[in-house]
Amino acid sequence: MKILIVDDASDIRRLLGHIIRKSGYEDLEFAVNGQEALNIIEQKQNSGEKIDLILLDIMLPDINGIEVCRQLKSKKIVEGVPIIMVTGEEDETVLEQAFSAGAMDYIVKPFSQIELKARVKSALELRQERQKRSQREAELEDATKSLKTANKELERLASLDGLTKLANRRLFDQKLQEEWGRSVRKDEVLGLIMLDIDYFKEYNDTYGHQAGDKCLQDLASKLEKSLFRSGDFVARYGGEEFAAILPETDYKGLTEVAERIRREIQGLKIKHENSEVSDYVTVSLGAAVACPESKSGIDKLVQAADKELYRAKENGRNQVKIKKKLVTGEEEG
Amino acid sequence: MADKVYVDSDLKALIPKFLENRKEEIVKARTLLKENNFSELAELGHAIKGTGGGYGFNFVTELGAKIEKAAKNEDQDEIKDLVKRLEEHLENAEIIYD
Repeated sequence: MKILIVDDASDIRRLLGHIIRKSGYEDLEFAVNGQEALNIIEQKQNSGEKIDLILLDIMLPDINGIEVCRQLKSKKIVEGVPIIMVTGEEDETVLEQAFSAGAMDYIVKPFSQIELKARVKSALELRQERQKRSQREAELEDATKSLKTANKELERLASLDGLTKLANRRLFDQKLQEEWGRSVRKDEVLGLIMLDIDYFKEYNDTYGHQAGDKCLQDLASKLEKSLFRSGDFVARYGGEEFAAILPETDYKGLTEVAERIRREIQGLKIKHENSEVSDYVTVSLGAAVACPESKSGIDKLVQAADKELYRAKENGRNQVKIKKKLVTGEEEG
Repeated sequence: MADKVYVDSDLKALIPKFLENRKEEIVKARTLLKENNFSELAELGHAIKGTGGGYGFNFVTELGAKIEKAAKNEDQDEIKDLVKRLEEHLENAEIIYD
């Protein structure tokens, strides 16, 4: 505990020092006037030292003790540090000024040892409590911060498919809602592609599940690269099924994108000897365009794209089927 | 007749310096008296008042308070008398350490 004693009278400094040392506080410093006190505190602040208590005479030869108190209190290092005014008399006006300048307590000269010891002790206890509290506050703030980061990361992980690192079904549903709403507001069309790997069961049976996982990963990264517009979004929809949301994309645009995906995946040349349509892994794609008007149309869009995907499968796989008619909320089937 | 002054035994080491400083203050008080410098006399009285009791010299504090008051009243004779009493008190004081 570091204590600064400010008094111009040498007898008082000695007496204060003597009594406080006897209370077990050895780390004392003395100033004989206000300016010296301010200088000492300034130095401590610059060198990163600390101070725990200041005993300050009100009647100083240079600067009035109350003014010194005010100036000390404005310094960062004195934040939370109790100041006890040492005064010659109990003048209410003066004491009021001292308290409003930031003093915590006062002691009247001549003081008794018991009184001084008690006041110093309680001031230092206050100081320690304040330090503990601000330390706890800082710890709490740190904990809150790392919790927030962890939550964010958790949220991110909860939205990702662990194998392919694409968005998962949960995030897809959320994203589709958002894009649907945006399309309603902007009066724009919204495209959706659903795609499925052809003969994936056979692939797994032939090459094993690890190869199957690798195939899914390669397809996923190819899909991400094939969808390069900033609003485009691709997710792993289910086992070997993927879905892509393409805002502001009409029938023509959707045809181009879907065909490109089909070509590029075949272009990966992942060997699939038990496929009935190709020597390599291929995909079937179904797509639909909606003109969103009300909330109820979302499911219809998904159903329509899914139905097209089924048609592509039925029609021989490794191909694209797109619904020609715009899907709207009111439309039947 | 000695005035008995009870001083906390662990302040013993500080007492010689304390007495020396009071003697200097008596000399200073007499100089200020000659100069009719009542404002500094009042400050001096205030300082004596604040110092005495802390060391156990309660009568010193009492005299300091009286000097301060007399200086404010510019009562030269009273101050002269009080300073004399302070001098006698310090000279005759029997310090009992307890």
